[in-house]
Amino acid sequence: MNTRRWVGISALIFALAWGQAGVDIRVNYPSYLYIATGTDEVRFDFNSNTAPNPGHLSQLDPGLASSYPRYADYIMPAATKAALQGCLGIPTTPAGSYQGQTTPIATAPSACRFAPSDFVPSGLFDAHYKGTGRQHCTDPLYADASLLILSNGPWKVRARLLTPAPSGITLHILPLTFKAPNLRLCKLWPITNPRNHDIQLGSGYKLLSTDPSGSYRRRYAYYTQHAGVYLLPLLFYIQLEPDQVPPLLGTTQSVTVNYIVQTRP
Amino acid sequence: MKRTALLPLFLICLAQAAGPGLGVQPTFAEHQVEPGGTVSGSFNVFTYRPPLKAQVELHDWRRNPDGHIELLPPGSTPRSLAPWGRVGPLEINVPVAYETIRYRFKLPPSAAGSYHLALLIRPSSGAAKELAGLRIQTRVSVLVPIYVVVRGTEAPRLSLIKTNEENDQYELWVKNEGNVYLPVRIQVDALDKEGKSLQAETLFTGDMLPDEIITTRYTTKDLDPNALLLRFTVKAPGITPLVWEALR
Repeated sequence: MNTRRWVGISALIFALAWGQAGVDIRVNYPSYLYIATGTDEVRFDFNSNTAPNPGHLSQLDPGLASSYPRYADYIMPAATKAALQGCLGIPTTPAGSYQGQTTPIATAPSACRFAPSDFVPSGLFDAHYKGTGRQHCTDPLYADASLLILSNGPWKVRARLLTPAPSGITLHILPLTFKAPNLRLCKLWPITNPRNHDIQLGSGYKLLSTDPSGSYRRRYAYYTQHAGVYLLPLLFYIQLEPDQVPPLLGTTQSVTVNYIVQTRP
Repeated sequence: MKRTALLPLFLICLAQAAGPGLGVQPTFAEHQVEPGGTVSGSFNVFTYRPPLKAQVELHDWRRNPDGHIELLPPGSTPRSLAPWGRVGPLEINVPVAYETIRYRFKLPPSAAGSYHLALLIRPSSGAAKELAGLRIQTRVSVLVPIYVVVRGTEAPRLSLIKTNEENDQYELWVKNEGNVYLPVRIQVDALDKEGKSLQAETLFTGDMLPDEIITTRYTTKDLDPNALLLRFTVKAPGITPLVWEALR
Protein backbone atom coordinates (compact mmCIF):
# COMPACT_ATOMS: atom_id res chain seq x y z
CA MET A 1 0.00 0.00 0.00
CA ASN A 2 1.55 3.28 -0.99
CA THR A 3 1.65 6.28 1.30
CA ARG A 4 -0.99 8.29 -0.54
CA ARG A 5 -3.49 5.48 -0.36
CA TRP A 6 -2.75 4.91 3.32
CA VAL A 7 -3.33 8.58 4.08
CA GLY A 8 -6.56 8.51 2.16
CA ILE A 9 -7.85 5.45 3.99
CA SER A 10 -6.83 6.91 7.31
CA ALA A 11 -8.70 10.10 6.53
CA LEU A 12 -11.74 8.09 5.55
CA ILE A 13 -11.65 6.09 8.77
CA PHE A 14 -11.26 9.28 10.74
CA ALA A 15 -14.17 10.90 8.95
CA LEU A 16 -16.34 7.86 9.50
CA ALA A 17 -15.39 7.82 13.14
CA TRP A 18 -16.55 11.39 13.50
CA GLY A 19 -19.71 10.68 11.66
CA GLN A 20 -20.75 7.41 13.18
CA ALA A 21 -20.14 8.32 16.77
CA GLY A 22 -22.96 10.84 16.93
CA VAL A 23 -25.98 9.31 18.58
CA ASP A 24 -29.53 10.50 18.61
CA ILE A 25 -28.95 14.19 18.26
CA ARG A 26 -32.07 16.02 19.22
CA VAL A 27 -31.32 19.45 17.86
CA ASN A 28 -34.28 21.11 16.30
CA TYR A 29 -33.92 22.23 12.75
CA PRO A 30 -32.00 24.54 12.37
CA SER A 31 -31.31 26.45 15.51
CA TYR A 32 -29.05 29.35 14.89
CA LEU A 33 -28.11 32.66 16.37
CA TYR A 34 -26.26 35.66 15.08
CA ILE A 35 -25.27 38.67 17.11
CA ALA A 36 -23.46 41.88 16.33
CA THR A 37 -22.82 45.26 17.85
CA GLY A 38 -22.33 48.65 16.29
CA THR A 39 -24.71 47.62 13.56
CA ASP A 40 -27.50 49.83 12.42
CA GLU A 41 -28.87 48.19 9.34
CA VAL A 42 -29.76 44.74 8.20
CA ARG A 43 -30.44 43.81 4.64
CA PHE A 44 -32.83 41.07 3.70
CA ASP A 45 -32.21 39.75 0.26
CA PHE A 46 -35.32 38.66 -1.58
CA ASN A 47 -34.02 38.84 -5.08
CA SER A 48 -36.71 37.08 -7.04
CA ASN A 49 -34.95 37.07 -10.36
CA THR A 50 -32.49 34.38 -9.43
CA ALA A 51 -34.79 32.11 -7.49
CA PRO A 52 -34.58 28.52 -8.60
CA ASN A 53 -36.80 27.42 -5.74
CA PRO A 54 -38.92 30.40 -4.80
CA GLY A 55 -40.33 30.08 -1.36
CA HIS A 56 -43.90 30.58 -0.37
CA LEU A 57 -44.60 33.83 1.38
CA SER A 58 -47.68 34.80 3.28
CA GLN A 59 -49.32 38.17 3.01
CA LEU A 60 -47.97 41.16 4.81
CA ASP A 61 -49.92 41.92 7.93
CA PRO A 62 -52.06 44.87 6.74
CA GLY A 63 -52.71 46.16 10.22
CA LEU A 64 -49.08 46.41 11.01
CA ALA A 65 -48.29 48.12 7.75
CA SER A 66 -50.98 50.75 8.16
CA SER A 67 -49.91 51.53 11.70
CA TYR A 68 -46.33 52.03 10.75
CA PRO A 69 -46.21 53.03 7.11
CA ARG A 70 -42.62 54.10 7.37
CA TYR A 71 -41.63 50.58 8.20
CA ALA A 72 -44.15 48.79 6.07
CA ASP A 73 -41.55 47.85 3.56
CA TYR A 74 -39.35 46.42 6.22
CA ILE A 75 -41.84 44.10 7.80
CA MET A 76 -41.44 40.99 5.79
CA PRO A 77 -43.97 38.27 5.45
CA ALA A 78 -42.72 34.98 6.74
CA ALA A 79 -41.49 32.26 4.49
CA THR A 80 -42.44 28.78 5.46
CA LYS A 81 -40.02 26.37 6.98
CA ALA A 82 -40.87 23.86 4.30
CA ALA A 83 -39.89 26.32 1.60
CA LEU A 84 -36.59 27.00 3.24
CA GLN A 85 -35.89 23.35 3.62
CA GLY A 86 -36.83 22.75 0.03
CA CYS A 87 -34.50 25.46 -1.06
CA LEU A 88 -31.67 24.01 0.93
CA GLY A 89 -32.39 20.46 -0.10
CA ILE A 90 -32.93 19.30 3.44
CA PRO A 91 -35.57 16.70 4.16
CA THR A 92 -38.20 17.08 6.83
CA THR A 93 -39.58 14.41 9.09
CA PRO A 94 -43.36 14.21 9.61
CA ALA A 95 -42.98 15.61 13.09
CA GLY A 96 -41.34 18.68 11.68
CA SER A 97 -37.98 18.07 13.18
CA TYR A 98 -34.78 18.10 11.25
CA GLN A 99 -33.46 14.86 9.90
CA GLY A 100 -29.73 15.07 9.51
CA GLN A 101 -28.13 14.04 6.29
CA THR A 102 -24.65 13.27 5.22
CA THR A 103 -24.70 14.70 1.74
CA PRO A 104 -23.71 18.27 1.04
CA ILE A 105 -26.35 20.93 0.71
CA ALA A 106 -27.88 20.55 -2.71
CA THR A 107 -28.39 24.14 -3.66
CA ALA A 108 -25.65 26.69 -3.93
CA PRO A 109 -26.22 29.27 -1.21
CA SER A 110 -25.82 32.20 -3.54
CA ALA A 111 -28.61 30.93 -5.76
CA CYS A 112 -31.06 30.27 -2.99
CA ARG A 113 -33.40 33.23 -2.80
CA PHE A 114 -36.99 33.77 -1.91
CA ALA A 115 -39.44 35.56 -4.08
CA PRO A 116 -41.84 37.94 -2.40
CA SER A 117 -44.08 37.98 -5.45
CA ASP A 118 -47.17 38.87 -3.48
CA PHE A 119 -45.56 41.73 -1.69
CA VAL A 120 -42.82 43.65 -3.43
CA PRO A 121 -41.65 42.48 -6.81
CA SER A 122 -37.96 42.30 -6.31
CA GLY A 123 -34.88 43.46 -4.64
CA LEU A 124 -33.24 44.14 -1.36
CA PHE A 125 -35.01 45.55 1.64
CA ASP A 126 -33.25 47.24 4.44
CA ALA A 127 -34.31 47.33 8.03
CA HIS A 128 -32.85 50.50 9.43
CA TYR A 129 -32.57 51.29 13.03
CA LYS A 130 -29.73 53.68 12.78
CA GLY A 131 -30.04 56.42 15.27
CA THR A 132 -33.31 55.28 16.70
CA GLY A 133 -32.11 55.94 20.15
CA ARG A 134 -30.84 59.37 19.32
CA GLN A 135 -34.18 60.38 17.91
CA HIS A 136 -35.70 59.97 21.32
CA CYS A 137 -32.87 60.91 23.58
CA THR A 138 -30.74 63.66 22.21
CA ASP A 139 -28.62 64.23 25.26
CA PRO A 140 -25.05 64.04 24.01
CA LEU A 141 -24.04 62.02 26.98
CA TYR A 142 -26.10 59.17 25.72
CA ALA A 143 -24.76 56.83 23.11
CA ASP A 144 -26.42 54.25 21.02
CA ALA A 145 -24.86 50.92 21.88
CA SER A 146 -26.99 48.77 19.72
CA LEU A 147 -27.04 45.05 19.85
CA LEU A 148 -28.47 42.99 17.07
CA ILE A 149 -29.72 39.49 17.59
CA LEU A 150 -31.04 37.17 14.96
CA SER A 151 -32.20 33.83 16.15
CA ASN A 152 -34.90 31.27 15.79
CA GLY A 153 -34.38 29.92 19.26
CA PRO A 154 -34.61 31.21 22.80
CA TRP A 155 -31.85 33.39 24.05
CA LYS A 156 -30.97 35.76 26.81
CA VAL A 157 -28.33 38.41 26.87
CA ARG A 158 -26.32 39.95 29.63
CA ALA A 159 -24.10 42.95 29.38
CA ARG A 160 -21.13 43.48 31.59
CA LEU A 161 -17.95 45.46 31.74
CA LEU A 162 -14.86 43.39 31.13
CA THR A 163 -12.79 45.70 33.28
CA PRO A 164 -13.78 48.43 35.71
CA ALA A 165 -14.58 51.77 34.19
CA PRO A 166 -11.92 54.45 34.53
CA SER A 167 -11.90 56.22 37.84
CA GLY A 168 -14.59 58.85 38.13
CA ILE A 169 -16.74 57.46 35.39
CA THR A 170 -19.88 55.49 35.93
CA LEU A 171 -21.16 53.61 33.00
CA HIS A 172 -24.74 52.51 32.78
CA ILE A 173 -26.15 50.23 30.19
CA LEU A 174 -29.84 50.71 30.04
CA PRO A 175 -32.58 49.13 28.05
CA LEU A 176 -34.67 51.77 26.40
CA THR A 177 -37.72 50.97 28.44
CA PHE A 178 -35.79 51.26 31.64
CA LYS A 179 -37.49 53.47 34.17
CA ALA A 180 -35.21 54.97 36.71
CA PRO A 181 -35.13 58.10 38.82
CA ASN A 182 -33.50 61.06 37.16
CA LEU A 183 -33.39 59.35 33.82
CA ARG A 184 -35.46 60.19 30.88
CA LEU A 185 -37.72 57.39 29.77
CA CYS A 186 -36.75 56.38 26.31
CA LYS A 187 -38.93 54.13 24.30
CA LEU A 188 -38.49 52.17 21.20
CA TRP A 189 -41.13 52.62 18.64
CA PRO A 190 -43.62 50.09 19.80
CA ILE A 191 -45.36 47.64 17.59
CA THR A 192 -48.95 47.80 18.73
CA ASN A 193 -50.33 44.92 16.77
CA PRO A 194 -51.16 42.43 19.51
CA ARG A 195 -50.09 39.48 17.46
CA ASN A 196 -46.60 40.78 16.97
CA HIS A 197 -46.27 42.85 20.04
CA ASP A 198 -45.29 40.34 22.63
CA ILE A 199 -41.79 39.16 21.99
CA GLN A 200 -42.27 36.38 24.47
CA LEU A 201 -44.60 34.70 22.03
CA GLY A 202 -41.74 34.38 19.67
CA SER A 203 -38.34 32.99 20.09
CA GLY A 204 -36.13 35.76 21.27
CA TYR A 205 -37.01 37.50 24.46
CA LYS A 206 -35.80 39.27 27.52
CA LEU A 207 -32.75 41.20 28.31
CA LEU A 208 -30.88 41.77 31.45
CA SER A 209 -29.21 44.98 32.37
CA THR A 210 -26.03 45.28 34.32
CA ASP A 211 -28.01 46.51 37.26
CA PRO A 212 -27.30 43.98 39.99
CA SER A 213 -30.78 44.36 41.39
CA GLY A 214 -32.24 42.11 38.78
CA SER A 215 -33.54 41.72 35.33
CA TYR A 216 -35.82 43.86 33.26
CA ARG A 217 -38.27 42.40 30.90
CA ARG A 218 -38.34 43.85 27.48
CA ARG A 219 -41.78 44.79 26.32
CA TYR A 220 -41.20 46.74 23.16
CA ALA A 221 -38.99 46.28 20.21
CA TYR A 222 -39.56 46.38 16.58
CA TYR A 223 -38.44 43.35 14.81
CA THR A 224 -38.85 41.56 11.60
CA GLN A 225 -39.97 38.03 11.47
CA HIS A 226 -38.90 36.17 8.44
CA ALA A 227 -38.61 32.43 8.37
CA GLY A 228 -38.56 32.39 12.11
CA VAL A 229 -35.84 34.98 12.27
CA TYR A 230 -36.26 37.51 15.00
CA LEU A 231 -34.46 40.73 14.52
CA LEU A 232 -34.26 42.69 17.71
CA PRO A 233 -32.18 45.79 17.54
CA LEU A 234 -31.63 46.05 21.23
CA LEU A 235 -30.62 49.59 21.88
CA PHE A 236 -28.88 50.55 25.03
CA TYR A 237 -27.87 53.90 26.32
CA ILE A 238 -24.49 54.34 27.73
CA GLN A 239 -24.60 57.17 30.17
CA LEU A 240 -21.74 59.01 31.66
CA GLU A 241 -22.68 60.71 34.85
CA PRO A 242 -21.39 64.23 34.31
CA ASP A 243 -20.91 64.99 37.96
CA GLN A 244 -18.38 62.22 38.20
CA VAL A 245 -16.59 62.66 34.92
CA PRO A 246 -13.12 64.06 35.53
CA PRO A 247 -11.47 66.23 32.92
CA LEU A 248 -10.55 63.96 30.06
CA LEU A 249 -8.78 66.55 27.97
CA GLY A 250 -6.00 65.13 25.94
CA THR A 251 -6.59 61.54 26.93
CA THR A 252 -8.85 58.87 25.65
CA GLN A 253 -9.79 56.22 28.10
CA SER A 254 -11.63 53.10 27.22
CA VAL A 255 -14.02 50.56 28.56
CA THR A 256 -15.19 47.33 27.03
CA VAL A 257 -18.73 46.13 27.31
CA ASN A 258 -19.21 42.47 26.66
CA TYR A 259 -22.57 41.11 25.65
CA ILE A 260 -22.88 37.44 26.48
CA VAL A 261 -25.71 35.68 24.78
CA GLN A 262 -26.92 32.45 26.29
CA THR A 263 -28.53 30.30 23.69
CA ARG A 264 -30.29 28.04 26.13
CA PRO A 265 -31.34 30.41 28.87
CA MET B 1 -24.31 12.51 11.40
CA LYS B 2 -25.64 15.98 11.80
CA ARG B 3 -25.23 18.19 8.83
CA THR B 4 -26.23 21.72 9.59
CA ALA B 5 -27.09 24.41 7.11
CA LEU B 6 -26.06 27.99 7.48
CA LEU B 7 -29.56 29.14 6.88
CA PRO B 8 -29.35 32.77 7.90
CA LEU B 9 -26.27 33.27 5.83
CA PHE B 10 -28.36 32.99 2.73
CA LEU B 11 -31.01 35.46 3.68
CA ILE B 12 -29.49 38.30 5.53
CA CYS B 13 -26.49 40.48 5.29
CA LEU B 14 -25.42 43.32 7.45
CA ALA B 15 -25.11 46.49 5.49
CA GLN B 16 -23.14 48.59 7.90
CA ALA B 17 -21.57 46.38 10.48
CA ALA B 18 -18.96 48.11 12.54
CA GLY B 19 -17.50 44.92 13.87
CA PRO B 20 -17.50 41.29 12.95
CA GLY B 21 -20.71 39.67 14.04
CA LEU B 22 -20.76 36.20 15.41
CA GLY B 23 -23.09 33.40 14.49
CA VAL B 24 -23.36 29.86 15.70
CA GLN B 25 -25.38 26.94 14.54
CA PRO B 26 -26.85 24.93 16.10
CA THR B 27 -27.25 26.90 19.30
CA PHE B 28 -27.11 23.94 21.61
CA ALA B 29 -26.72 20.20 21.46
CA GLU B 30 -28.42 17.39 23.28
CA HIS B 31 -27.25 13.82 22.93
CA GLN B 32 -28.31 10.52 24.34
CA VAL B 33 -25.77 7.77 24.69
CA GLU B 34 -25.62 4.26 26.07
CA PRO B 35 -23.54 3.79 29.24
CA GLY B 36 -19.90 3.84 28.25
CA GLY B 37 -20.77 5.17 24.82
CA THR B 38 -19.31 7.93 22.72
CA VAL B 39 -20.93 11.01 21.29
CA SER B 40 -19.65 13.53 18.84
CA GLY B 41 -21.01 16.58 17.09
CA SER B 42 -20.15 20.00 15.87
CA PHE B 43 -21.06 23.65 15.86
CA ASN B 44 -20.58 25.94 12.90
CA VAL B 45 -19.32 29.41 13.68
CA PHE B 46 -19.97 31.98 10.99
CA THR B 47 -19.94 35.67 10.30
CA TYR B 48 -21.32 38.02 7.71
CA ARG B 49 -18.42 40.37 8.04
CA PRO B 50 -15.22 38.36 7.80
CA PRO B 51 -12.63 37.94 8.98
CA LEU B 52 -13.66 36.76 12.39
CA LYS B 53 -11.12 35.59 14.89
CA ALA B 54 -12.33 34.12 18.11
CA GLN B 55 -11.35 32.05 21.09
CA VAL B 56 -13.39 29.11 22.24
CA GLU B 57 -13.38 28.71 25.99
CA LEU B 58 -14.71 25.65 27.76
CA HIS B 59 -16.74 26.17 30.88
CA ASP B 60 -18.80 24.45 33.43
CA TRP B 61 -21.53 26.65 34.76
CA ARG B 62 -23.87 27.06 37.66
CA ARG B 63 -27.11 28.96 37.83
CA ASN B 64 -27.40 31.08 40.92
CA PRO B 65 -30.74 31.10 42.70
CA ASP B 66 -31.51 34.46 41.12
CA GLY B 67 -31.29 32.82 37.71
CA HIS B 68 -27.97 34.24 36.58
CA ILE B 69 -25.39 31.97 35.07
CA GLU B 70 -21.97 31.80 36.67
CA LEU B 71 -19.17 30.41 34.53
CA LEU B 72 -16.77 27.96 36.14
CA PRO B 73 -13.55 26.29 35.01
CA PRO B 74 -14.03 23.16 32.93
CA GLY B 75 -14.05 20.00 34.98
CA SER B 76 -14.85 21.81 38.21
CA THR B 77 -18.23 20.22 38.70
CA PRO B 78 -19.05 16.52 39.08
CA ARG B 79 -21.20 16.45 35.97
CA SER B 80 -18.77 18.16 33.68
CA LEU B 81 -18.13 16.63 30.29
CA ALA B 82 -14.68 18.16 30.19
CA PRO B 83 -12.74 15.17 31.56
CA TRP B 84 -14.31 12.81 29.07
CA GLY B 85 -13.40 14.21 25.71
CA ARG B 86 -12.07 16.96 23.54
CA VAL B 87 -13.23 20.03 21.70
CA GLY B 88 -11.48 21.76 18.89
CA PRO B 89 -10.25 23.95 17.47
CA LEU B 90 -10.17 26.40 20.36
CA GLU B 91 -8.89 29.20 18.18
CA ILE B 92 -10.99 29.88 15.15
CA ASN B 93 -10.51 32.06 12.13
CA VAL B 94 -13.39 32.57 9.79
CA PRO B 95 -11.98 34.16 6.66
CA VAL B 96 -14.94 33.81 4.36
CA ALA B 97 -17.79 31.70 5.59
CA TYR B 98 -17.64 29.50 8.62
CA GLU B 99 -15.55 27.16 10.66
CA THR B 100 -16.59 24.01 12.43
CA ILE B 101 -15.88 23.27 16.06
CA ARG B 102 -16.05 19.57 16.73
CA TYR B 103 -16.39 17.70 19.96
CA ARG B 104 -16.22 14.11 21.01
CA PHE B 105 -16.85 12.61 24.43
CA LYS B 106 -16.58 9.08 25.70
CA LEU B 107 -18.31 8.63 29.01
CA PRO B 108 -17.23 5.96 31.50
CA PRO B 109 -19.47 2.91 31.93
CA SER B 110 -20.33 4.11 35.44
CA ALA B 111 -21.72 7.42 34.20
CA ALA B 112 -25.36 8.03 35.04
CA GLY B 113 -27.73 10.92 34.48
CA SER B 114 -26.66 13.92 32.42
CA TYR B 115 -23.37 15.68 31.81
CA HIS B 116 -22.74 19.04 30.30
CA LEU B 117 -20.20 21.53 29.05
CA ALA B 118 -20.52 25.00 27.56
CA LEU B 119 -18.51 26.62 24.81
CA LEU B 120 -18.02 30.35 25.14
CA ILE B 121 -17.17 31.73 21.73
CA ARG B 122 -15.44 35.04 22.25
CA PRO B 123 -14.35 37.16 19.27
CA SER B 124 -11.09 39.00 19.59
CA SER B 125 -12.47 42.29 18.32
CA GLY B 126 -15.68 44.28 18.33
CA ALA B 127 -17.18 47.64 17.59
CA ALA B 128 -16.06 50.87 19.19
CA LYS B 129 -17.53 54.32 19.73
CA GLU B 130 -16.15 57.38 21.40
CA LEU B 131 -18.13 59.52 23.75
CA ALA B 132 -16.84 62.46 25.76
CA GLY B 133 -13.32 61.19 25.60
CA LEU B 134 -14.31 57.69 26.53
CA ARG B 135 -13.79 54.97 24.00
CA ILE B 136 -16.52 52.40 24.45
CA GLN B 137 -15.89 49.04 22.89
CA THR B 138 -18.57 46.46 22.59
CA ARG B 139 -18.01 42.78 22.07
CA VAL B 140 -20.33 39.88 21.75
CA SER B 141 -19.84 36.36 22.99
CA VAL B 142 -22.06 33.36 22.69
CA LEU B 143 -22.45 30.61 25.23
CA VAL B 144 -23.61 27.32 23.73
CA PRO B 145 -24.25 24.28 25.89
CA ILE B 146 -23.74 20.60 25.19
CA TYR B 147 -25.79 18.09 27.14
CA VAL B 148 -25.26 14.35 27.15
CA VAL B 149 -27.77 12.05 28.80
CA VAL B 150 -26.80 8.46 29.60
CA ARG B 151 -29.76 6.54 28.32
CA GLY B 152 -31.62 4.41 30.83
CA THR B 153 -29.97 5.98 33.87
CA GLU B 154 -32.08 9.10 34.15
CA ALA B 155 -33.73 9.76 37.50
CA PRO B 156 -35.53 13.08 37.06
CA ARG B 157 -36.86 14.68 40.20
CA LEU B 158 -38.02 18.20 40.92
CA SER B 159 -39.07 19.48 44.30
CA LEU B 160 -40.76 22.56 45.59
CA ILE B 161 -38.54 23.05 48.57
CA LYS B 162 -39.95 26.28 49.94
CA THR B 163 -42.77 28.74 49.40
CA ASN B 164 -43.40 32.08 50.97
CA GLU B 165 -46.04 34.78 50.73
CA GLU B 166 -45.83 38.18 52.28
CA ASN B 167 -48.10 41.08 51.44
CA ASP B 168 -48.33 41.07 47.67
CA GLN B 169 -45.10 39.13 47.14
CA TYR B 170 -44.98 35.41 46.49
CA GLU B 171 -41.83 33.33 46.31
CA LEU B 172 -41.09 29.74 45.52
CA TRP B 173 -37.89 27.73 45.53
CA VAL B 174 -37.55 24.83 43.14
CA LYS B 175 -34.73 22.33 43.26
CA ASN B 176 -33.61 19.77 40.72
CA GLU B 177 -33.01 16.78 42.98
CA GLY B 178 -32.52 14.28 40.18
CA ASN B 179 -29.44 13.30 38.24
CA VAL B 180 -30.43 14.75 34.91
CA TYR B 181 -30.81 18.31 33.66
CA LEU B 182 -34.37 19.41 33.04
CA PRO B 183 -35.85 22.13 30.88
CA VAL B 184 -38.11 23.76 33.43
CA ARG B 185 -40.96 26.19 33.05
CA ILE B 186 -42.53 27.96 36.00
CA GLN B 187 -45.82 29.68 35.40
CA VAL B 188 -48.39 31.49 37.48
CA ASP B 189 -52.07 31.63 36.70
CA ALA B 190 -54.39 34.10 38.40
CA LEU B 191 -57.83 32.55 38.80
CA ASP B 192 -61.14 34.15 39.61
CA LYS B 193 -63.72 32.72 42.01
CA GLU B 194 -64.98 30.33 39.34
CA GLY B 195 -61.53 28.99 38.61
CA LYS B 196 -61.22 30.82 35.34
CA SER B 197 -57.76 32.01 34.43
CA LEU B 198 -57.59 35.78 34.23
CA GLN B 199 -53.88 36.19 33.74
CA ALA B 200 -50.96 33.90 33.14
CA GLU B 201 -47.32 34.71 33.28
CA THR B 202 -44.19 32.71 32.77
CA LEU B 203 -41.82 33.32 35.66
CA PHE B 204 -38.95 31.15 34.53
CA THR B 205 -37.88 29.07 31.61
CA GLY B 206 -34.52 27.41 31.45
CA ASP B 207 -32.45 24.32 31.96
CA MET B 208 -31.94 23.29 35.55
CA LEU B 209 -28.87 21.24 36.24
CA PRO B 210 -28.89 18.60 38.98
CA ASP B 211 -28.77 20.20 42.45
CA GLU B 212 -29.65 23.63 41.12
CA ILE B 213 -32.14 25.79 42.97
CA ILE B 214 -34.23 28.44 41.31
CA THR B 215 -35.99 31.17 43.21
CA THR B 216 -38.86 32.95 41.53
CA ARG B 217 -40.77 35.90 42.84
CA TYR B 218 -44.12 37.21 41.81
CA THR B 219 -45.85 40.36 42.85
CA THR B 220 -49.56 40.94 42.52
CA LYS B 221 -49.22 44.68 42.24
CA ASP B 222 -50.62 44.84 38.72
CA LEU B 223 -52.91 41.88 39.05
CA ASP B 224 -56.54 41.82 37.98
CA PRO B 225 -58.61 42.74 41.08
CA ASN B 226 -60.94 39.82 40.40
CA ALA B 227 -58.14 37.31 40.85
CA LEU B 228 -58.63 35.33 44.04
CA LEU B 229 -56.26 32.44 43.65
CA LEU B 230 -52.71 32.19 42.38
CA ARG B 231 -51.68 28.84 40.98
CA PHE B 232 -47.96 28.36 40.47
CA THR B 233 -47.06 25.44 38.24
CA VAL B 234 -43.62 23.94 37.68
CA LYS B 235 -43.34 21.79 34.58
CA ALA B 236 -40.59 19.68 33.06
CA PRO B 237 -40.61 16.75 30.67
CA GLY B 238 -41.19 13.44 32.42
CA ILE B 239 -42.18 15.13 35.66
CA THR B 240 -45.61 15.36 37.21
CA PRO B 241 -46.21 19.11 37.43
CA LEU B 242 -45.64 20.67 40.81
CA VAL B 243 -48.41 22.99 41.90
CA TRP B 244 -48.58 25.56 44.66
CA GLU B 245 -51.77 27.49 45.19
CA ALA B 246 -52.03 30.60 47.29
CA LEU B 247 -55.05 32.71 48.10
CA ARG B 248 -54.60 36.27 47.25
